[in-house]
Parts: sequence; C-alpha cells; structure tokens
Amino acid sequence: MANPNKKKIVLPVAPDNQAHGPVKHLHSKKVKLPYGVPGHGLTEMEREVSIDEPPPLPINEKLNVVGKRTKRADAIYKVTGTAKYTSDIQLPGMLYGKFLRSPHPHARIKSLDVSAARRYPGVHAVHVLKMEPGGSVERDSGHDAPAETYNIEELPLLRYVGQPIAAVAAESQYIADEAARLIKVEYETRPFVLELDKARQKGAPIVFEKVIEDEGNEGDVGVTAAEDQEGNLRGPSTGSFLGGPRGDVEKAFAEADFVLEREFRTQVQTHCCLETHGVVADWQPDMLTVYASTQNTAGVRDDLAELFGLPKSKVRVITEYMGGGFGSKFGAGHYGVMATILSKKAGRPVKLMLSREEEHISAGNRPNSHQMLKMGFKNDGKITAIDLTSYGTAGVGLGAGVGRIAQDMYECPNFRTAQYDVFTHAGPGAAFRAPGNVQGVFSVEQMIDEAAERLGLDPLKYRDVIDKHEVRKLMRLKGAEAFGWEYKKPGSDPGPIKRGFGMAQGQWTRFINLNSSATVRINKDGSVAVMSSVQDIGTGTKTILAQVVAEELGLAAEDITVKIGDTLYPDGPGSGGSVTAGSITPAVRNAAYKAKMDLLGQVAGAWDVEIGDLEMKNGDVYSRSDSSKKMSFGEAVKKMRTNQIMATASRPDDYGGFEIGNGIGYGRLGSVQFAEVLVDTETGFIKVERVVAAHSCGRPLNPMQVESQINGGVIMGVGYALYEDRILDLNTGHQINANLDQYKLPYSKEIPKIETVIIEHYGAFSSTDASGIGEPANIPTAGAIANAVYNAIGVRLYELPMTPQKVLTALGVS
Amino acid sequence: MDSPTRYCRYLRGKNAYGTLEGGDKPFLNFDPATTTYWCLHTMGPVGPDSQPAHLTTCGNDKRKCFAVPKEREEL
Amino acid sequence: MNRFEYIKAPSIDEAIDMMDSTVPEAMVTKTGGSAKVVKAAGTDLLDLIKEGILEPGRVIDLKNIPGLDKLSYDKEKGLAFGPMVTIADLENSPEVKKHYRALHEAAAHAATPQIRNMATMGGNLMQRPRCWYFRSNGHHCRKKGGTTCFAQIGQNQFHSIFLTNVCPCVHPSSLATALVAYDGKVELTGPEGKRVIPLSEFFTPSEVDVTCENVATSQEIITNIMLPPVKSGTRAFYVKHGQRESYDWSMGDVAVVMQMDGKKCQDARIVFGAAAPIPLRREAAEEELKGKTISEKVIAKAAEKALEGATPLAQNGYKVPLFKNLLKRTVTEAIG
Repeated sequence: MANPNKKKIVLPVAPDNQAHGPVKHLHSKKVKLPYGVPGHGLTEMEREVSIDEPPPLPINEKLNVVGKRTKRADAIYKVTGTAKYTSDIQLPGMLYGKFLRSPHPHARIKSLDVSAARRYPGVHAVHVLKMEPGGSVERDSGHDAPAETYNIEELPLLRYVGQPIAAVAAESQYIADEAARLIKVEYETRPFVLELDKARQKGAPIVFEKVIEDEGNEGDVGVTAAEDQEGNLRGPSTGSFLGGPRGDVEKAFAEADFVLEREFRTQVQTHCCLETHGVVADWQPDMLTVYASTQNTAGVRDDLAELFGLPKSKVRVITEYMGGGFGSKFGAGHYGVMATILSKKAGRPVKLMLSREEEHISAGNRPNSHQMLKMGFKNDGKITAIDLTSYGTAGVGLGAGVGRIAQDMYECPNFRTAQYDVFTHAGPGAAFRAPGNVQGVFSVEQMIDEAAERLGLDPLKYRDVIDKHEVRKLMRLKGAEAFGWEYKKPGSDPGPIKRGFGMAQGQWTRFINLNSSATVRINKDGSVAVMSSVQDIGTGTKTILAQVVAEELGLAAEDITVKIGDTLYPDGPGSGGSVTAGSITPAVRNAAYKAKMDLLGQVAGAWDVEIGDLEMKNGDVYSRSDSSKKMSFGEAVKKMRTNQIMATASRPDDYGGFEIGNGIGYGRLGSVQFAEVLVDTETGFIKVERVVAAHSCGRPLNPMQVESQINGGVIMGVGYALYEDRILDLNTGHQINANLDQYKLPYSKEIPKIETVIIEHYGAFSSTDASGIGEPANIPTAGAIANAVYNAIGVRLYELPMTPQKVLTALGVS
Repeated sequence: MDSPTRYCRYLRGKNAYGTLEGGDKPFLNFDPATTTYWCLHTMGPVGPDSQPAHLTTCGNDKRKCFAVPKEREEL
Repeated sequence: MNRFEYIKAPSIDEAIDMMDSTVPEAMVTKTGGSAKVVKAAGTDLLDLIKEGILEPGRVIDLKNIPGLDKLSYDKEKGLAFGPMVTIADLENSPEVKKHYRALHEAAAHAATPQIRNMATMGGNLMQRPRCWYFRSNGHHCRKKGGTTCFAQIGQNQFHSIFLTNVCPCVHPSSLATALVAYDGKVELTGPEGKRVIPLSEFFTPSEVDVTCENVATSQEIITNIMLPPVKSGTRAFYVKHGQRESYDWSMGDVAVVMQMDGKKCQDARIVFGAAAPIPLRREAAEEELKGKTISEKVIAKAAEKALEGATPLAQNGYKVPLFKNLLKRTVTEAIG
C-alpha cells in the first residue's frame, strides 16, 4: 500500500483562482432579482452587478418566451431526416477510415507488415501508431511501396482488446474494413488481468510495470492526489474540491447508537451514443476543417491545433447536429487524430466513424465500483459518521472514484473516504453522466433506507430529518404528492409478483464555464442570428438560445436563427458537467441586450426620446411615455445606420461570486426520484412501472426540453439499474456483448411511465438564472429502483445490474 | 521562474467541470477521483513512454516524452 | 464483409442447382469465399457475414421464387406454410391464433416487430445460435471447427442447462419450441427430391455434430412446414422469458400442448426453448401429466421431473427454478 514516508503531492483545488480572481467593475449597480420558489416564499435578492448587465429577468410567469413550452428549433429537420449529422457528411473525394485494433488484452507486437493493406485496390493511406515523443511518423502513401518494417520498440505495448494499432483510408468503408484486416501482425501475448478483485491480489499481472516517480507540481491548497501506486492499485483519493476528511470518524462510530456496514458493487456501463464517435477530417493547405460528433467543438479545435502545430484560426470544427454524448465525446479522440493524419497523408477528406463494437471497447465507459460503506447513526436519526472505501477500474485509465454523494449530500460532521483506482487490461473509462455520483447514490441511498427501517421511519420522512437542502425538501413534498407516496411494509404483497415503492435522491454541483461567449447579430432586413461554438448535443441548446434572444428583443423564438456548433463563432462551453445552459445563456442574453441597446439608441435618435423610454415587446418597438411612438421591429431596424448590429458577450461571474474558484457555484442541484416496480419472485423479472422525477435546474428555460432531458436521464438510469453490463470474457479479454443486441439497453416496454416535477427555483446567479439538468436527471434513478425492489421483496440487492439471475439468487430460489 | 503548476502541453483531462489542458496555465484539477486523463499524442491514457498520463506524472520534465508548455517555449 | 456473388433464384430446382453448402458447412469446411449458400430474408445470414464469421462466395436469394410464402389451414390436414412465410404472417393469421395458440404466442414474442415483418420461417428454423463466442470473430470455437468451447469455461449465464457436454449454446429459434410441441414436420427438397421429417428429428444436438444444428444437407432447402390438425380439447400455451420485454433473446421459453378431457389430461407435449442446443422435449414431465386430473400438485411434480437431469453451468443455475416456474405457469395458463 501507500508509502507513508513519501512526500504527499498536494494538488491545487480550482487553481484557476490564482490566474484570475473575480472580475471588478468600474461601474456597478444594485439590482433586485427573484429569489426562491414561486408559491413557496419567493423573495428578492439584492446583488451588486456590473452596470453592463441587463435588467433582472422576472419569474417565468411574467415572460413571453423564456419559460414557455417551446418546440425545438430543429425538430422538423430531425424528424424529416434532413438534419446532417457527422455520420451523414459526404465531401467530394472523401475516403473512409478503419482501425486495426488489438485482439489481445496484453501483448507485445513482434512484427507488423502493412504492405498487403497498402496494395489493396482503393487504399490511399495507411498509418501505424508509434509510441515516440513528437508523435506518429508519417509515411508516404503509394501502392507499390515495399514491405515496411517497424522497430518493434516503437510500437505500443498493447494493454486492452480494442487498443488502436494502425488505420487505413480507402475509397469505401468495405474496402477500408477489408484492408485493415490485411495488416499482418504477430503478437507475443502476455498474462493479463480483468477483474477488480484479482488485479489487486499479489502476483496479478501488472498493467503498468514501472512507476514514474512523482515529482514537482506542488500546489499550496487542496486535496491529496491519487499519486501512490503499487502493483495495479493507485490512490487513494481522499477528497474532492469540496474538501478532504473531516471530524473524527472512529470516535463518532464509537458514539453512534448503531452502525451499518455494507458492500455494494456496480458494473461497467458503456455510453452507447446512438451516433458513434467519429469525425470527417479535411486537411487543406490553408485550413483544417473537421466535422465532429463532439460535446466540445472548441476543445477538438484546441487539441488538433496543439498536436499538428497549427494556429487555432486555421482549424475549424463543426458540429451542426449531434447524435448523443454523455461525457466521452470530449477532445479530438483517437479517431479524430487518426482521421486528420490520414487526410493529411492522402490529401483527401477522411471519414472515420467507429463501429458499434469499437464504440463499446474503445470509446470509454463508466468504471465499475466496489464500495465498502460504513455509517453511524443516532437513535434520533442523525448521521454521526460516514466512511467510504471504494475500488473501481477504468481499465488502463484512471478516474474510477464514486463521487461526492457520501461527502456532500447529508449533514455529517465526521467523514472519511479512500477511493482507489485499479488498473486492469480493459478499455479506458471516460466521464459518464455524473461521474461517480451515480455509483455513489446506489450505496448511500440504500443505506439511508436501511437506517430508516431500523429507526422505524418512513424513508421519505427520514430524509426530512437529515437533509438540509431546502429545494430538495420541496421536491420530496411535491414528488411524493405526484407519486401518491405511501410507505408500505417491505415484501408484504401476497402472491409471486410483488409491488414495491422506493425513492432516492441525488445531488450535483453547479458548474459554470466562464469561457462561454456568443454574438447576436441584428440585420437590417429584420433577421436576427445568435452565434457561438457551443454545440447542441441533443439537449435543445439551439432552442433555448433562440428563446433567450427572442425574450430580450420582444420577438418569437422562431424569429431567431441559431448558428452554433462552429468554431468560427465565439467560443462556447463544452457540453459536460451540466454546464451548458447555465454558462452560455447569460452570455447570449447579455449579447442580445447589448445589440438591443445599440438598436434602441439609433431608434431613440430618430424619435428624439430617451433610450430608457423605449421598450421592445410582442414584435414592436415603442415609447412607454408616448403611445404615438410605436413601430414594428421590422420598421425599427430600417432606422439602423449600418446593415447590421453585432454584439458579443461572455459569461460574467455568478452574481454574488463563486463558492470555489471561478466556476463552482453556490447551491447544489438536488433531485428526488420515486420508483414503482413489480418483481416477479418466480422468474426474477423486474419491471419498473412508474417513475416520478422531481428536479430543479434554476430557471427552467423550456419546460418541454427539461422534461425531455429528465426522461432521458431516467431511461438511462433504468438501463443502469436493470440491464446494461459490459461483459468481458475472462479467458480472452474480449467484450462478448459489444453490440446492442446482447448489451441490453431499455427499449420501449422497459421504459416506465415517467412523470416530471420541475421546481422553478431562482438563485439570483445570472442574467438568465438557468442551470443544467443533464446529469441530475440520471443520478438517483438506480438508487430509487433498488430501494423499490427491496420494498417489493424484502431482500436487498447490493449489486448492479439487478438481473433476473441476481434476483433469483438473492431470494435463494436458485 | 518555475511555476509550481506546470504540465506537459500534451496532457488532457476531463471531469465534471469540463476539459482540462496542460501547459503553464493552472490546471483545473477539481476532483482527482473522477477525472480521466489522456495524452494528445497517443490519444489514450498512456504517454508515448507507455506510462500513465496523469496530473502527478505529466508534470515531470525528466519523463522523456515531457513537452515544454508552449508559453514557456516562447520565453 | 467480404465480396460475394448475389443471384436471385427463379425456382427451387435452380436454387438447388446453384447452391453447394449449408451455412454451417460454409463456416467450417467450405470457408474463404468458396461456399454457395441460399438466403431467405437474410436477417441472420447478413449478420453472420457482417460479423466476419461467414464468407460466402455466392448468395442465392430465394425471395423471387413464387409460391413459397403461402399459408393454409385445413381442419383435416392442419396447418401448412412455406419457408418464406414471415413471422408476422404467422402472428397475424387468424387461423393460427384460433387453433395454434402457443404458436401465435411464440410468433408474437419473437424478435421485434420490424424483424418479424422481414424474417421468414425457413430462415428462423435455419438460423445459427446466438452464443456470444460463436458470434465473435475472435473466438474459434467448436461450432466453427475449433477445439475449445469458450462458454463452458467462460461467460455462460444465457447458455444451456441440458446437453451441455460438447457445446452448451441454446437453439435460437423460440418458434421452434412451439412447432415441436405441436409435433410439426418439415419438408426438405434436394437434388433427389423431397423428404418429410418430424421437427423433433430435424434438430440435432451438439453430440451428433457440433458444427450444425439440424440434418439439412448441402443442397437441401426447407420447402414446407406442417402442423397436424388440432383436436377439440387441445389446450396449449407458450411463455417466453427474457431480461427485457420489448425485444430480447429467450432466457427460457416453454411450449405446452395438452389434450384434455375435462380436467383430465390425455396427452401432453412439453418443450423447453433456450434450455439446450435443440428445442427440448421433456417426456418425463409429460408422463406426469398424462392420465391425471390436473392440479397444482400434479403440475409441481411435472415441473420437478422436467428439470431432472439438468446440468447447469457455473453461471446459469438460476435457469433451473426459472424453468420450473415457467412450466407451471404455462400449463396453468394452457388449461385455465
């Protein structure tokens, strides 16, 4: 285990702080913003903000466009198939790429010969990945090139099935697939380890044999990094940006009235984006253009500019439509870099979209977990101590922690965690919809239910005792009302098919990405456009941007043209961490406000009135004081002195500043979900009949889209709870269900009736006061289902997914 | 002057907050337990020297693949 | 996917002339693009080609051959349908629904509505197993001519609990479970003419030949599928259990066809699907029902008998109680 004498490396927490502090304003003003929940003691909060900030936006009820159920801006293009996703892009002369990947979980390449692939008719470029500083060495294309030999020392050590080795670009996908198979490789296979428990044992095959000595990089604040590595074990990580251990855990356990100690296990889940990871890369002498299925256009641009030594201005990344991204579509990706190299070599555009199998084995996953959770309680319900040790494997990667639920959701003065990463010979993990917190809820929320039962309390009411989050309290109240919550004795149904009710709650941090900018352009013909590199990954970003601009300019959402997902426009945030709505909409509103002020200034000049006297509403521009002065927006823009007005704005700091660094906001996004299940005790079959999901995302900009995202989160949670599981063959290291047939996602009949409860909650944080919903929607579902299953059968399941096999085993009928 | 927070320019990471980039500018390491790292060169979680890409290893300029941050190169 | 020649056969005779292998032969003995095989809808064949485990030289399409998609019912002769009848055709046939309830249920629970619209009954009976090792290009298993069974030593939660010695894959056709229960027959046409064999003899266990699942030879095509007429007093039902309801392969399915005289069972056929490499008759359980007045106790006894001799693997022991419970439910539903 960790060497206690070794110098601890302390990593900075949010060191962004040191680079730039909060922004100071020459002129500021005091404004009063709505604060709290309408109908539940809504008040106002006074904030000091920059003089440039637009006036406070009233609550949704008083608005025309924002907060209203608004049809998706691009719905018609999606349902008619005219929307062009990356996988639909066709360019003149475009080639298709295909990877050759490792068939072994641990092997050294003994020899590699690409000559047959290169000679195959229709092949234009072949590239072999080499492990040398300075990057991959390119080779000329040419069909009659002699057999190439490689210094095997330069070729990568293969550490998982699916690790990329080389790739080809050819005139059709079939040719490329066939040519990739013609690359001849001889392997020297080595022992490997796939299982979390076995990888930790003495004598297990080692994934990374020699350990780099940690050196340098010492910050002055923060938490201890996961720096210690022994064998395949790395860590532990003992804290997060919310801090490290607190109190005296051992003392608190000793003083507790009762202590619960349980083990929980969660599986590896793969992202299963409907559109697989991939790009079309078009290398031209003056510009590299990349169509990418990405959650972060600007990030892809930055990666490629850095790697290929190009100025950022000469890399353009476009994501007009995106077929799903849940955390793994960040950065250029191995496919993006390879496609760019192949395009550069071949002098033609190259499309490289991963196959479904490649998607499962090489594009990331949610790491599994083995959690040992111990909690102490007082007889009045108070939690005295929480101790959470976890092991998880992100394969050859890191980041298998179980999040901040145990640390942060309930009040508890004594807390300690040790979260270990375990290396295995499997594909690398990636961020996945609320990394860690989904795993964390599964353990913590089941234990809270166990404690409630021990205390003789309704688990819902028990949470009122221990949870101080005010908005979540309201969610419990309203959610329980919608659900018709009534606590039922576990396992009390007669007959083999038993009904159960359960609930669980979740928490997510309000992250803000300040590098979020947008331009609003008003044209003299009356058209209005909003532009940013921010992408709509299917969540409805385009629509909310149109709504925000329309509200500000007194227009309708469909009057606004949304041009996003293109790095030619101002940088927007990456769409991960549920940051998009909260980060980009204030920038967009502020840009719209600036443009509006510019326009009103010109109208005011023409009418000879004060700007402050003018208002834009319902498609008109008018004077508040003189009702004779009124014209339509279309007329007003004719007063413009230039053909267009353009204004750009960036996300200001949160009103009232940040809790931590420059991006972690005050307040947590809470969530509460209720599940009703039927468990067939004779077949082990679980059916989730109904879920009520109560959520808050600050100001809901478009309730219809919020509902849609919650639906998606719940469905994904159902899959995680009952079906999804990456199954590796322990003898060969292959994922044997690397498809959508045997890797089981929820289909129509597996999707419960979902009812959403949206709490409109104002925090006075920004000019739109919006927050995200993507991750909160997914966090509590599996926990709620697990509690409902227990309520149905009276036997608790500690392991995901809850398959018929596990139910039957738990019931002891096997 | 040596910056205490200096990382290989090819290091990348992703956590709940977003994408993290190496270089001289401070690296946003909010949550080590759930941050995944990769190297731009290999586009995988290992560096060109076949060792893990991570905040605690990619600031090591003795590592043969360490690339000086761009900002520093220009000095 | 390899390159191959594609021909639409105008008639059965010509199709027989043009073909030279079964799909199993094309995967084991006539590999590397030399085999000439037939396809019906291609729902399974194309998967095999795309998975890279089948590389035919020629694919002969049966779709254009007239008369293969007829379904007929006659009180005296029973039900007969051609190989190109789709699963949806069976599902939607009023005669099937009325007289062959278990078959209707099996058709209605197979695959997805989209696949049922395409997939044919001939193809359904000829499809290859879904064992994930067999379907993996990276595992040269016994069924593909190799020497190892990866399932026996690996991930076998969905595999057989009977006849597991050589290859514990389960037969993929859940419709076959019902067809065998109805004592169906199949007509095979080859160069020497036609032969008719009971479906219970058509499917062959791995012990006979691990590389294939039935007795069809290199140049034989299924040209008809026949079920005997149902007598009054016939009670039948079929239950399929998967992890998902919408679409899933069976974890266990049961078809029961009983001849009842009031509450008394005169004859019974019980077949398990996804329990063995073939649709598996459970004769010992049938005997428990025959001649008895059906009660909960009798059914429970039959369920115990039905699982006698099961040899579950490391991960599929749960299938034993699962099948017991499914059998109880199927019988209860059939007579209820």
